[in-house]
Amino acid sequence: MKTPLFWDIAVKNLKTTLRDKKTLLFVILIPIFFYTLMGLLFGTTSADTEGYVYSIGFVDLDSTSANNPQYPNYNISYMLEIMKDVDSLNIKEYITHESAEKALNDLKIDAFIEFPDGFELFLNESGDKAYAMYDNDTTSSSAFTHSIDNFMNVTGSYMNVTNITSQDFGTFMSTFNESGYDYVLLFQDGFEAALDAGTMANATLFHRSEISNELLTVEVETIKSTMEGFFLQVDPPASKADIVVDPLAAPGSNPKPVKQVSIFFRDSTEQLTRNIITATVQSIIDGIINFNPNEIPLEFNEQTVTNIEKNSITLSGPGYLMYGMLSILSMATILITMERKSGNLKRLESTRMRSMDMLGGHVISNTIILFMQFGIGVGVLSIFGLRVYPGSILSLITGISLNLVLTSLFLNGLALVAGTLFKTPEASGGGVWIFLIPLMTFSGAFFPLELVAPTLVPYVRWIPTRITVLIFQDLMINESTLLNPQLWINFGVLALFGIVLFIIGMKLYGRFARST
Amino acid sequence: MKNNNSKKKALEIRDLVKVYTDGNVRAVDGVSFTVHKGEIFSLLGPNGAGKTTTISIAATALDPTSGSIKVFGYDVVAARDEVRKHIGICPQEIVIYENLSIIENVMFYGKMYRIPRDELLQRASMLIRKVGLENKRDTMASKLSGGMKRRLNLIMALVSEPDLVFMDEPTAGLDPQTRRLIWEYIKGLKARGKTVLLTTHYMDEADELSDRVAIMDNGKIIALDSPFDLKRIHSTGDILEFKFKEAGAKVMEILERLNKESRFNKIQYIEEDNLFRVAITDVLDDLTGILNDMRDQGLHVSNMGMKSNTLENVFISLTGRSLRN
Repeated sequence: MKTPLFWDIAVKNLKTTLRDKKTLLFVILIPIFFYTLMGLLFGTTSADTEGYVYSIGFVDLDSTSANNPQYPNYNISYMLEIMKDVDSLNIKEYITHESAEKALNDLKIDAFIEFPDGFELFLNESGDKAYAMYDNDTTSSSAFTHSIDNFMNVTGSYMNVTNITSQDFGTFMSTFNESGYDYVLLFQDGFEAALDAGTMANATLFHRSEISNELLTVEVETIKSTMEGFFLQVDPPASKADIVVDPLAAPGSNPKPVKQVSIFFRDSTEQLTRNIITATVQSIIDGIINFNPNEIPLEFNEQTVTNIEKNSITLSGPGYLMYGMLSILSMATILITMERKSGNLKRLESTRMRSMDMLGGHVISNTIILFMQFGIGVGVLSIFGLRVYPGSILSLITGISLNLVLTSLFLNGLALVAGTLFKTPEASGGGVWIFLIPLMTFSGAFFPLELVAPTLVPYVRWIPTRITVLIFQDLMINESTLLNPQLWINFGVLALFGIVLFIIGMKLYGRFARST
Repeated sequence: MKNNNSKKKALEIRDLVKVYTDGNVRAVDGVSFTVHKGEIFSLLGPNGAGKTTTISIAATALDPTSGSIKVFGYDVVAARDEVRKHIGICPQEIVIYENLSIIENVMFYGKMYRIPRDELLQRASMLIRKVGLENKRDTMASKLSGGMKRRLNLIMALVSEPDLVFMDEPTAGLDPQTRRLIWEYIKGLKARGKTVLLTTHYMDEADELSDRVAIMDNGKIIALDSPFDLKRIHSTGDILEFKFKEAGAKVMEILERLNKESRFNKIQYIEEDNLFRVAITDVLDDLTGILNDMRDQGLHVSNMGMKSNTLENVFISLTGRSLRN
């Protein structure tokens, strides 16, 4: 079986390269050392969370207003001011969900809380409890303070009380879930007569299901003391009466709907950290809202901002990967000139090999090493927190493969040009840094692309390896898929650079190979 | 383009010129010769004579400045691919991949001639065995001795079973035993009908192996013939070297007297060594007579040496200087 010559040359290149200790050191070990160093400096494993002050975003999406002078603590703006004074939190206000999410992704905050539309109205309604009262007593007292009607009228002046005695009690209770009332107080038959006689006067307090015992006890005591304050205020025998309020869950009732406050985390945030932040924020807000005796249930809806991970090593990782990949340029240049110096190029030129076979072999072997470089880089940086968030797995694999192939084409083209210019391995080893320094500096190998001075960006934006990194960022961090047209523009520019350089390199190589 | 008139010509070089533009050096200057099929043809000359350049051009690794070279009728410039099917080159330097084993090196070069893998493996194994490297077959080339590397260098040129083999100083720097081994192998190639173009600066090698020898100097061929005829036509013959008890002037007078009978081709006195060198054709036929005549003339030999007629003598005769210079 005959394999294509370029493949045989590629296999030979791989064997000679991977068996050469100096090359291995240069192409594999030094990049691993570099990635490890960057990982230790900027990776997540170096984070120290002890005594950490959490940065919490604050988003108010509520268009309603509590407008309750009695309860200023129901205003979200009031909560914001209080929370800003808490030492363990660093509160940052955001206008929209998107701006807070971006800040979360950019690591500017650890989490953000979001108040939904209607939250203040909910507090207002929840704080001002609604009572329906039904008089089921057929007895009647002539004393003003023994009259249920009078009780309803008087308490109605300072509480949210509705007399529903005119309605059918059974029908009313069947619609209790939708009624908006929190409690229904049913005065049992003989209530007024019992007051007159100074005996036991019974009432039943219907409540919604899933109410806490603690809250229910408070509520029963509140109602009972209110009734005693009215009904037992005159001389005996009424003052000797015993008012009994029995709590009873309304059959078929549901809890009153609660407006949830959402709290968002990055998906990398550990559960322990989530619990700490949620408990801290919830206790603070709960304390503000429930400053008065009216217990308002507060629920936090924990959510995760998925598919986006931007710790510092993730943000900078694609650039760091260029360090190892750019060592291919040096290796390829030295390999080309070494082939000539050793006499193998001249010897091969007298075989049936064509220059295209030789160049194809170089491109293939260097591309395979480039893939290895990329894999090693991603592997090492992953240990230090690099995370990949693809738009789709197919796009990630296809896009990165295409990117590596095009980058390899560019680097091989440049190596051909450099090799034919510098001619000897010794000159190439040093001379190639003329290309390496700007390529590394402006492609994020040492510091993130975003830190390049804005005035320089128009000049360096078309550096091919910078485009390689931009493609990596889109595919690995920004969830781009191959449907993103910007990706294809970048692929096109990179391919153009690669093809043009490769053609120039081929022309130069033809002369180079056939000269002494 | 194939020239059918050149059926028996393995290599035909006409007015070959190669000028290296970077140094403005005329490395080959109007060289013409023909190598016939089945012949061992040597280019003999000092370093820088143009031998390697000539071979490199013939092997398609370099382009000529002018002139024409045909290999089995195919022009090396116009029909490069066709030429490469027929040739193998063993360069002067050891050109191998140090990080490949012996078998990998041979197999790799075989693949460059598009030889099917199974056949290639057979050929490579056979060649490795023939040059005595079978025990080192899987050893990295970097761990071989110089002689082993030289043998590897040679068989890499032969794996394609070329009809015409270019060997550029194939035994340079080798021990006598390995040289002999390679000589035998080269003779074996000729026995199998292969054509060999050899460059060497070893006179004994050219003498031993070659059917014909072309002597090159300064990019030109200054003589071309069989070793026997080159020595016969261009050499002053065998050399006798004497030291005498008598004074130099007296000795010279007696030797010149003896030479009146045209006994010697040449007489030379090297004063600093007090050494007399006389060139004689077929000295062994008349050595006893010469010594007797000297004794009769009153000369007493204190030391004597003899050098056979060699191609070096030819080169000295043609250029006035030694090959090694």
